[in-house]
Amino acid sequence: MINQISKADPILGITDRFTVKIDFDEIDFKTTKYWADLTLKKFKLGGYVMLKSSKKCYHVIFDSYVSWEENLSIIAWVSILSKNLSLLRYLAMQCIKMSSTLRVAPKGEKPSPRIVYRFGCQDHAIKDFLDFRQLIKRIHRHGKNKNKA
Amino acid sequence: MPKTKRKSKAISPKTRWAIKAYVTQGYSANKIQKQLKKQGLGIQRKKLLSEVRKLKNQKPKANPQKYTPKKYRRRVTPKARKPVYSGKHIAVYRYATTWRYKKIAKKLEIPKTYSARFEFYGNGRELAQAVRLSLSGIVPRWEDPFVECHAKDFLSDPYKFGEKGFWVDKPNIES
Repeated sequence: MINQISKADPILGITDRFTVKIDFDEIDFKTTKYWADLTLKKFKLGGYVMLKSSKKCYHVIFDSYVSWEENLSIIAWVSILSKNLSLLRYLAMQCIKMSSTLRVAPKGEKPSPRIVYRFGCQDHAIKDFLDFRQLIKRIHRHGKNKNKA
Repeated sequence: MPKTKRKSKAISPKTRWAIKAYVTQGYSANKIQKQLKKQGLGIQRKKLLSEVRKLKNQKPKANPQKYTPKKYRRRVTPKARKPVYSGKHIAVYRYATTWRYKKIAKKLEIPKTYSARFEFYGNGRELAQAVRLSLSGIVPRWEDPFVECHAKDFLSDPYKFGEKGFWVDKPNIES
């Protein structure tokens, strides 16, 4: 067994417990939108924003703040109904960490996730999320420039 | 030159008695001030007016700042800014390795990298500095690979939470 180690920049992400964040992998835009709409209606989450992280990978962030227990129950509901194995894995990882994380900065060749669709209210959790995302992006850009210099 | 606080002089009993007499006679505040000045008992107009109001059982003037020109208003020192944190943390994560861990991994025949993660919280400037410091090559120890700490604490003593090492890509395992 040989481990090939190559240096790389760490990934930067946003972590918190009260924003509903779902990471859909191996799924197309329409299906992601369908599940986001269904979740929004079922749990009355105000609105959502969809970000494309890479090909067939989407992040969905909802606008209402919820408790950690409710957050987990929402992600679990979506992952069970959608039968998305990678989402189940994501849920398990968040349960271990006791907080949910989404990537903000680029990861290898993947660019940072970009907004592809918005729906409903965007004034609460989404606004805070996007503000914090902006801060992280600025930190990442600045850090990169400094390293180059 | 440092500013010295002006001492507030209390009204002498003699002056107070004179004011009381003038008020009962129905003198206006201007007239009282002139009379007091003549007698060598002159006092600050602000104090005289408050004393007259007290004697006449009048309510203290509401919102006196409103009628004071801006340049004469008392300066209020700005409150010390409280640090504002959103409940959000910055996660800095990837696989990591250190020279110390490499030796251990070689001995135990386990993968040479481990999944590591810093979670920082704090205000913007501290977060930026902490992330930059971790990017420069400080990784969590393999004994405690998931570190959640305040950015300020990390900046004051980074080696308490991590050690020198490298952030590495996901290991390609060839068998």
